[in-house]
Amino acid sequence: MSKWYVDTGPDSDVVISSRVRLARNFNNYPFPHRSLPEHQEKVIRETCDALFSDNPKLKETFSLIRLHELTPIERQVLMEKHLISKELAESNLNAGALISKDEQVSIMLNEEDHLRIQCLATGMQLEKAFDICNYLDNVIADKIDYAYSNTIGYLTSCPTNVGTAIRVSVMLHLPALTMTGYIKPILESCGKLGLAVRGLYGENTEAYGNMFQLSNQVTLGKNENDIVMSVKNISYQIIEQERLLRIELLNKNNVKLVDRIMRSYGILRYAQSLSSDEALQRLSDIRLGINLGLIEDLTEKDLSIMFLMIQPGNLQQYEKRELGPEERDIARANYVRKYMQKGFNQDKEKMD
Amino acid sequence: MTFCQICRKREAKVHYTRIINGQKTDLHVCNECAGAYGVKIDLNSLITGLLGIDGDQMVKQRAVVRCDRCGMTVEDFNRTGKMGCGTCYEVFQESMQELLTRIHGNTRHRGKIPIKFELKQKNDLRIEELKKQLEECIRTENYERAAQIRDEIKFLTGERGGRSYE
Repeated sequence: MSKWYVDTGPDSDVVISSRVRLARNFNNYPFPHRSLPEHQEKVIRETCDALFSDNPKLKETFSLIRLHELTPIERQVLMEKHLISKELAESNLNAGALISKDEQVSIMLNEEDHLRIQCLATGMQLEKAFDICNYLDNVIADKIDYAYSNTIGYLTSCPTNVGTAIRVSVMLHLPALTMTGYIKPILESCGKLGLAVRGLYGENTEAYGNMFQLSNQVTLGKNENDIVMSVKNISYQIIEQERLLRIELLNKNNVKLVDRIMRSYGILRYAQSLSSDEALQRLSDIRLGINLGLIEDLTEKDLSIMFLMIQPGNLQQYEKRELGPEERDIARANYVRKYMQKGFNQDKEKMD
Repeated sequence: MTFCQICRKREAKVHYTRIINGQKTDLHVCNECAGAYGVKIDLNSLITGLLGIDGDQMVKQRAVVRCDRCGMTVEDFNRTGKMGCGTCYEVFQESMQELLTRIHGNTRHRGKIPIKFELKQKNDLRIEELKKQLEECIRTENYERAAQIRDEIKFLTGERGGRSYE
């Protein structure tokens, strides 16, 4: 089955991915950090029962993963795929995750809350991601008594999530806004509009591959649809600015921009050692090159695969052994070099 | 050299800005605390630092300082930034109202309602309505109808009882 991240979604020239997650807690047990291992086990069992008892299709789609049964590298791979959070990867609790075969949906069990129902999608597909979360939530809610208050909504471990307990986020690739420095005022105004911006910016902005995650901050007082729409609308304003600026950059500084992109292409194609920071920046340049029609032998899909595979966990899983930082830089360069020379077509097919 | 605001041991190399409703907070942390990838700083310490419940004030107000269900105390909350269970929200309701207003600018849920609660709400409304009808029947001495209504109320409250906490 095709993994979600090798698809391309709407507005994928700027929007890398969309994500929606709902936090839910059982009324019968204390929240995970204050609950006993047997409560945690019941949460896992009862969630599986609620989902699967009347829905054989869901049972075929999801598999249950228990975190304590995984190696550190396996945990890291799941984290890099955004299927589990860092908190869950490092958890000492009886933690688990139900992960769909296409790796689009995951339900984290005994993370900060009993349940974190999350759906990922490529490009701008927030409504679709929300609909999937909402459906799974309804299936579970039919069987389970949630911790819920008529006045303040869904009750969560952290008061910052109370109410709808929804987090709606988009990952945007904004190289032109970053290069020109227009990114700063834009991100500041996002804050004023109630959106949180995650990822490194300021000094280390460029090192993180010009990726910015925008998400809603407020969860109480608005309904789910309004929250989805506000993240979407604000994102589109940024997306339009990024697009205009890309064209302007190409028209004004043609040689400088093309040179930068082609240098990155050359480096990725021939380098023998690549740090993670450099690889992310070079891949960002190439993605921009593809969007501007300057690079034709690679697609956004290739970039998504390389972006994932150069991360430490995936790299070590690919090499089937633990690697030190220097070994990783070499393995990273090897992977990217071979991939770009089209030597890894078999892998690509496997990923499909 | 700026020290990391989380561990206070290593040099701060990551500069993170968090903006909530236009309120900007700068955070300077070391690489270790920031995590090598996909900065996932645990913001709880930050949140509780900003929004902690004032324990002294609660004692003065003779408010409950321990959740009778899970045992969480104000100190626990201020240390972890996490509530212990659903009941904590009732026990610490007053402080929570203030905290939620500061975080969300709002204290009223306007989103999705879980199906079971939706049914319960409908049930409650129906019971209210029946009680009014019952009064009316008694007033007009329509005892036969009153008995029917009383049975229906009994049935509905019984059903709701089956759904209540624990």
